[in-house]
Amino acid sequence: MDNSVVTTQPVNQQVADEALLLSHDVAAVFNDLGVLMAVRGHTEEAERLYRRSLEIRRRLPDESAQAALTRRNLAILPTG
Amino acid sequence: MVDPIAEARRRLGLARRFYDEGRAEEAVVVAETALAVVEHAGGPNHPAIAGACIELSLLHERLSQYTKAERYARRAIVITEEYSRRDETLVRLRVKALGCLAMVERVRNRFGSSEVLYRSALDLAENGTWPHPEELAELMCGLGAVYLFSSRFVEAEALYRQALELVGSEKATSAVVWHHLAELDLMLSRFDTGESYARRALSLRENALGPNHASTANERAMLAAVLARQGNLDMAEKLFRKAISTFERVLPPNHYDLAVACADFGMLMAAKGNIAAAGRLTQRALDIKTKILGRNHPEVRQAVEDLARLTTR
Repeated sequence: MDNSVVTTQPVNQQVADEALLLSHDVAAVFNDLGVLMAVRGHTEEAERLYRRSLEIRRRLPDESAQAALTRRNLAILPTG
Repeated sequence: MVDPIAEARRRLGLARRFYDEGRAEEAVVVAETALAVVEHAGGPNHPAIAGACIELSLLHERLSQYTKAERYARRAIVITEEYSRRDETLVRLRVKALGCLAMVERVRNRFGSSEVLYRSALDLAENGTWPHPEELAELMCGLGAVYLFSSRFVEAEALYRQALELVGSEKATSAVVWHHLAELDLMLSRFDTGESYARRALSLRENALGPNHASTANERAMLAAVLARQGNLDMAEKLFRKAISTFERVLPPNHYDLAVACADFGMLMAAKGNIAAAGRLTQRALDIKTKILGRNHPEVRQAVEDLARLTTR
């Protein structure tokens, strides 16, 4: 009994944190930060941010057009 | 006396040739005179007017002049509103007119209406009895691109493959299909096939239109993007520079393809450590896109916020 209380608390907290991150605005911010990093030459960082944005958008409804733009940003990111 | 319809057709043929020779602005002028000839001779709703409007819509679309492209497409749609399925000429014109408007709607990011227009054009075309694989393939690629930029990749690929089957893989007209397949594979990180498709598109364009045509340059930019993603930065830089210098010579200064090439090349310069050049190229791309697409287009909105942050730092 006691154990379950202890373990559900952090799990709930984690779910709440993730839910907060699941928004159009957050996805857009990750995309824009990605572009910002890319324009400054930090391509690995940019790639990480684009993927983060895509991951969020994958779980949101009506994000397909925005997701395609982020995917294109990722597609033209140079390697090396 | 000269038959005005035949004269208009001759002028539209000339306009097309000018465009293929990279003289796009002259092509528009000639096509406008063709429209004037049929307007004068045939009254306001003659089918030949729709034909001239379609040609003008296509030319303006290729020049990134979307307001005019839309106006001409809508006029052609109105003229062909009352068609009979047995009137092949009119049905063909209507298919083209719907395709023109669909293309403009897609560029403007109105994917819903673009999809509807492409679908009605394809339905009409597929019910027809005349052979016209190139036109069908163009429509399929257009609808496929709507799917691509709605993240509907499976549907996009199915349409592109269908289009390729229609036109065959080695014809000059299949360059447009290879271009779309390359773009799809680039976005899905399938670089090996993406590169070979981009190379095919480039060599087909080069053979058909020569090395200095805007369409050839666009394939160079596409190949450059694929190579940059694979780490071949020096070759990519060369191709981007060549593409951009061709665009600067043969296109009006505010052109969508030029903007895309500048934006993509900017990313390459950034990766190479030339942050100043990257900023200039990104800004140039943004200025062009703002002029031709307006401030509320998603591609502009995204970039405006990015650059605002970049420059206020």
